Amino acid sequence: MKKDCELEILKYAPYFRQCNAALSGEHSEYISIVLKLLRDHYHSLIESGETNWSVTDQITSTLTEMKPY
Amino acid sequence: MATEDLTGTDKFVDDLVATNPVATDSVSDGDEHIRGVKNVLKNTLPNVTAAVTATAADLNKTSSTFTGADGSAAGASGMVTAPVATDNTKFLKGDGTWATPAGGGGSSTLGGLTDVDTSAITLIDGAVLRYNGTASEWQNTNLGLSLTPTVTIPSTIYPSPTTVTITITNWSSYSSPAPWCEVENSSGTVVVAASAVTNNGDGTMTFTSPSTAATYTLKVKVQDFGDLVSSTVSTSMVVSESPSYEYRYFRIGSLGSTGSGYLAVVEFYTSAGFTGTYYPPAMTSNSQTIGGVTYALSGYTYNNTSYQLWKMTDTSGYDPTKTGAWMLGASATQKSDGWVFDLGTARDIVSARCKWYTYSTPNTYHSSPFTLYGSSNGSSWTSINTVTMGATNDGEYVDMLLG
Repeated sequence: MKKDCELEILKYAPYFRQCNAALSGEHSEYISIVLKLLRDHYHSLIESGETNWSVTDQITSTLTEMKPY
Repeated sequence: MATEDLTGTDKFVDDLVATNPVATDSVSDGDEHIRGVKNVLKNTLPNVTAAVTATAADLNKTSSTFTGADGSAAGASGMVTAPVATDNTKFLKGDGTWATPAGGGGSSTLGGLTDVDTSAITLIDGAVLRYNGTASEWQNTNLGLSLTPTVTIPSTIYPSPTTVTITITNWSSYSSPAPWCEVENSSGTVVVAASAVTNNGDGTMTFTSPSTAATYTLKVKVQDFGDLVSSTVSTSMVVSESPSYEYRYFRIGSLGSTGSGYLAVVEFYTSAGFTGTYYPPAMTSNSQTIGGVTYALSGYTYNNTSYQLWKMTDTSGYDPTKTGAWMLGASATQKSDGWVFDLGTARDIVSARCKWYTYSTPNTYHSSPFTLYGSSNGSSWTSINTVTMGATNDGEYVDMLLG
């Protein structure tokens, strides 16, 4: 499930985007939100005993609508 | 009588004629001759009032030349060789030469110094040269009093733990100043020692204000490099009681349109310095009765099943992975309305603070200011303070009421 979360993060924030954000700040707010939302969601799934990765429609729509690239 | 004229002050030994008087001279003329010899002696040796002990050899040295030692053979006494015009600052060495003094680059003029570059120094009246080891250079100093500092202090100072910053406004007039500051109470007792004052090196100094509201005396002096310490400037420093805000409702609103504020912790305290009782207490729902008082929280938060408002009251510590209310996706109106904290009844709040999840350290996205409001009815709001987060680091408290 952790791997699924990582893949989900990469869908919105691929490595080169994360590198650019870290190096130059480019789109770093969006990158940070991606990381926070999906990590928080991962932790909430773990706490609720889930063993399969899934993403809520709200998270998907939020990250899609906010995506600046 | 065949004798020379030996009378008068211009007759000396060399005027004596060795062959006079001749044998045919009358004996009766002898007294005249004896007086003449005595006159010549006194004219020639007018200042000899004691026995002259110099030997003939000693006297004869006036015609020999002084010779120096050479390290193995001794020299000889005699007349010193006359110095030439440019030997005026030299001394006579044992080797018989006129030599320049070693070391110091001594000279009767600054320009003549050989081991100090004085060409770039602006000479001032009374100046002396002093070596500044820190700057690795020679500097002028007049050993005068350092310039008296001019000091400004905040117009409003609250008791400890408020940080007080004072400013020496003529700081740029010093070259390498060392400031000193102390605070005394009305009895002259030091309440803020110089050791507790931080010199920021830019003309400002900071210290924690005294714990009691009263009028104090702030004393400041400065010692510039190479100068004597300045006169002490004494300034009256009034520490006022921290203001309190008696409201039932508080609101964090007017959030900037940029960024998506994530508020992790909010605490309203009844005493200064984030002490006393804080409100709201730790809650587990957005409306909850605790100790007979009902507390309520309202406002926008993203996905209110994950980012609940009541988690802003969580006292378990700052945990950016879980806790707090988030303006992610909020409208401009929702950001303007912010979050409302109903403390159940009017509370006399003296200090307040909050923590934001800032995504980054230092804060990048939520540096836009927000405003803290108070209200007695939850609908008519009074602005209390506008807070700028600045470069607040992730997880750092932000003071909402100036301590």
